[in-house]
Amino acid sequence: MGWLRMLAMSLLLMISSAESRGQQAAAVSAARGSFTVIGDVDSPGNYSFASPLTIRSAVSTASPVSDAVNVTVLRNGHDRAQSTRLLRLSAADSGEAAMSGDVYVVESLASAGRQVLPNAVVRSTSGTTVISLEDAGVVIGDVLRGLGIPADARTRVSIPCRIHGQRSVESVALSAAVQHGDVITVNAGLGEFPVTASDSASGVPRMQPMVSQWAGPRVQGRSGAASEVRLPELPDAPARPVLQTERGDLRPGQQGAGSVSEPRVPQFPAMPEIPEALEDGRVVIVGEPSREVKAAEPLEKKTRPADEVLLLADSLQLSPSAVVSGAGRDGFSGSNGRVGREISTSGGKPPISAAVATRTESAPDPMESSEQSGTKRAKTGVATVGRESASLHWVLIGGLFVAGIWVLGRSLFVGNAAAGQVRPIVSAVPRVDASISGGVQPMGTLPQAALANAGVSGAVAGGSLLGSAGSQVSEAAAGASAGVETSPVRIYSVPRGLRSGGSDSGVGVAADELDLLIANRLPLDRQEPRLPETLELPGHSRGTGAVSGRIVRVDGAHGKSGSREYLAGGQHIHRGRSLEDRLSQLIRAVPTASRSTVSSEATGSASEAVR
Amino acid sequence: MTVSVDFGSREIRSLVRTGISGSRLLLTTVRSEYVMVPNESSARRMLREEGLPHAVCGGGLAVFGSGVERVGWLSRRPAVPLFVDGRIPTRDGLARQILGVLTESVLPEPTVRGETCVLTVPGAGLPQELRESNEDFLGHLVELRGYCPVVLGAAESVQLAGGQETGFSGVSVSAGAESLSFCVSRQGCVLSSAGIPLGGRWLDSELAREFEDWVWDESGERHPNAAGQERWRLGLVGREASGRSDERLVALQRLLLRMTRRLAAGIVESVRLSGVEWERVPVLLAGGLGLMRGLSEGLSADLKALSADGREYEVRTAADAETAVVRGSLIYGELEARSAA
Repeated sequence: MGWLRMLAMSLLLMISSAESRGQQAAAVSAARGSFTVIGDVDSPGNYSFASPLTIRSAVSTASPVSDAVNVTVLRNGHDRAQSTRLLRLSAADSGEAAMSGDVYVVESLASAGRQVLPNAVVRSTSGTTVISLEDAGVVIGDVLRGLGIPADARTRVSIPCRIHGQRSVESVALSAAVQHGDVITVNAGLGEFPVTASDSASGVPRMQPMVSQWAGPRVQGRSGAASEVRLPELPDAPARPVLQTERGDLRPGQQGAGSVSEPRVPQFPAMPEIPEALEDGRVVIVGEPSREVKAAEPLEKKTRPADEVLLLADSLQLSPSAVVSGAGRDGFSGSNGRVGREISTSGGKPPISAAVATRTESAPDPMESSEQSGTKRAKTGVATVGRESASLHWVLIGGLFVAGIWVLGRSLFVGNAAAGQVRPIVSAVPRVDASISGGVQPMGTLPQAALANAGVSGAVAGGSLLGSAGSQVSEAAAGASAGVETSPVRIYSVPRGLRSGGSDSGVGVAADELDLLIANRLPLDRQEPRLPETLELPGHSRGTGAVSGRIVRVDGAHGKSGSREYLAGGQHIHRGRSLEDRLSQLIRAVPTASRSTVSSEATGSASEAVR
Repeated sequence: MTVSVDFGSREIRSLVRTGISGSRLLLTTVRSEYVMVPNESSARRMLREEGLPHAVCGGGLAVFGSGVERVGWLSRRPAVPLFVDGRIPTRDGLARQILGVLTESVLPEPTVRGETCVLTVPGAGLPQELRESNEDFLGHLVELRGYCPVVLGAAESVQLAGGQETGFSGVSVSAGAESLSFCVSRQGCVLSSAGIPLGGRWLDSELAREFEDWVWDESGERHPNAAGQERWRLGLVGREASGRSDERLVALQRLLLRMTRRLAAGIVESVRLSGVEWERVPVLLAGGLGLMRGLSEGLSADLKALSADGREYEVRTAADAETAVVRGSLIYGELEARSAA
């Protein structure tokens, strides 16, 4: 009976999941654009409109970390922030409608909010892409390269919106670090990208794991000889049946010259062949101390969440040392290495590419590291899981039908739940530490000359690793639950302190002064007035403290407050009924005088009377 | 370059933003008072040696600017305000001329003649014709300097300066030396505004009289030592009260309560007349008196007590309470300039 009950539950799960996916697909097909939410939110990303939304509800979709947030709105096609408003999620909605192409930058007003994964967004003519920053040293040049946006001297990159009191920047250098909440806008040079045939056929930029252009010299081996590091080629992105762009749907084979212009991507140089010694997916950088870097490897078309694989492994009494989690879930530490996660788009489609690697914390000997530790850990990572899972499929089909059904149902359930989540992965891809002397061969497309022309002077030594599986705004819309798209691109970089000669000072200063003025963030200097030391002025003082002393001052506020005394003619007069009446009459008798000052000419008799 | 000037009853403040990018703000302040000292050789020599700006006039020596506080002991007379109860002194020709000198000293030479200068004028609690008289006179002074004057209400400026968090909607209060002005705004548009002729000077005068704090001039006449009370009151900013045993503090709280009671009544009525349907009304407090300890708390309590329609009033004080008015005017000037462009 227990078997039958499990089988029935699994079938129900599968059916309900399929139904919900069908509904979601219908909702997405009815979508009329997308909006983006970044900043202090739990789920930054691009979201599709399933129905008309207000700004508050749009922001709420991304789960802001606090109830009171400042939301900066950047409309589509605008270079500057349109408005900033305070939103309280618990308060009534103002009803202002969200628009397609909007970018909402959320800044939490709570002093001690939850920690969020640093994120940013890149706006270009090819779309809006949310990136999650895995560490603080990611530079704009890396991001643009990762997204396939070549940056040269003609490219104008600006950051029209920043949060947490930082200035917006109208012209920013490629070496500037990307910060949490940045809206990076690329405005020029986008129409001249070289496009490969395969790229144009799929309409999807081919994202490659690459070593940053900012990389320093080559990696030095222990013997001092430079060893060239090659990374294996990753599979091309498969053609998608329908690419939903901001301007409409683009079908395979449809060229951008038509009514729909597809994003154009740069042509990457041919990837180096995988050395035989590295067929197992490991790249060993020999240096001091040694580092074992597991290079990326083609992934399975669909991977399962980490916990699912673990359950499966437990059921088969296997113990994989490391697994790779599915989309939207964190990687976790394996036995000794930190394991990255698969970076995939949603909807069960195969990932475009991924850069996944493990890193040993320390190894006494590089050769030992490659032979012993490496042998042990060769079972770790994606490749291990991929091979094992392939063989496990046969085992499943043959002997564990019920367990397979259960796992499949669970995977669908978990996959749906995880589709809208973006979780941080900290240090998933190994960093090239300072101890690695030498450098890594750049594999990007941008020549150094172009970077030099773009004002990037002084190559950043150390470089950065960029693991990206970029997709355009609309890519993930098809399979996202409730119109939610995952954040597709993750950027890793070498900590800034490791860079020598890197210049981050190229950030322009031409910010939107009005925003800064309104936010009271412009620096304030004080100066003394430039008064003449001596001058002659005609006339006599008629003020209260004047030398002549003939002015009668009746303090209006004083009178209204009902105090006990009036000051008139420099003497204090105890209030008496008759005197108060006489003073009131005198004040009324002077048409131009206020209740405050009555001239001596008009009140001379009063002063005498008072005396 | 964008310029704004706030003609306050205690200080005249100007704010200038220069440059196109990476600019800084330049704040210039000068006391809007002057002190008359006898035209004697010793006084002239002292002023000359100290480099204190002064004017030789019919009744003696008029000391203004930074010299007001420094030569107060020499005169022993209270300083003469340039805006008595928020009004341009129509009968005091000397005060008006000093006002012209001070205006010229805080405003830089315009880069282009006819540049916009946004000004706020005192006298929020005055009748309309007197307010217009203030605006005409002070606007003319700014025009003589080469600017095109644009007059803005002080409370509206406060909303522009500190209302970003609330979408420039709510109540903004400018608490000054002579008056309390407030307005109800919705998304930057003023729905209603009003003023109450109570301010810091009223507090000081009342305190001086209640505690018989006098100063005597050389002729033997006594004057309430409002300046001394003001010094004591300003010293309370950011300081914890010493306890209820301090009689003067209790008296000040009592006066503050009277002030906040009137202000709260005015705000509640203005919100009601504005026809807004806010459940929570943000109230932004600024101005020199806005820093007064107890003012925001008292106002908040009074608003809660007087709110009969179930609205909640959230009182907060602007971060730069003293300069919020002039900064808001500068924002207005920037917006004007961009609109014109």
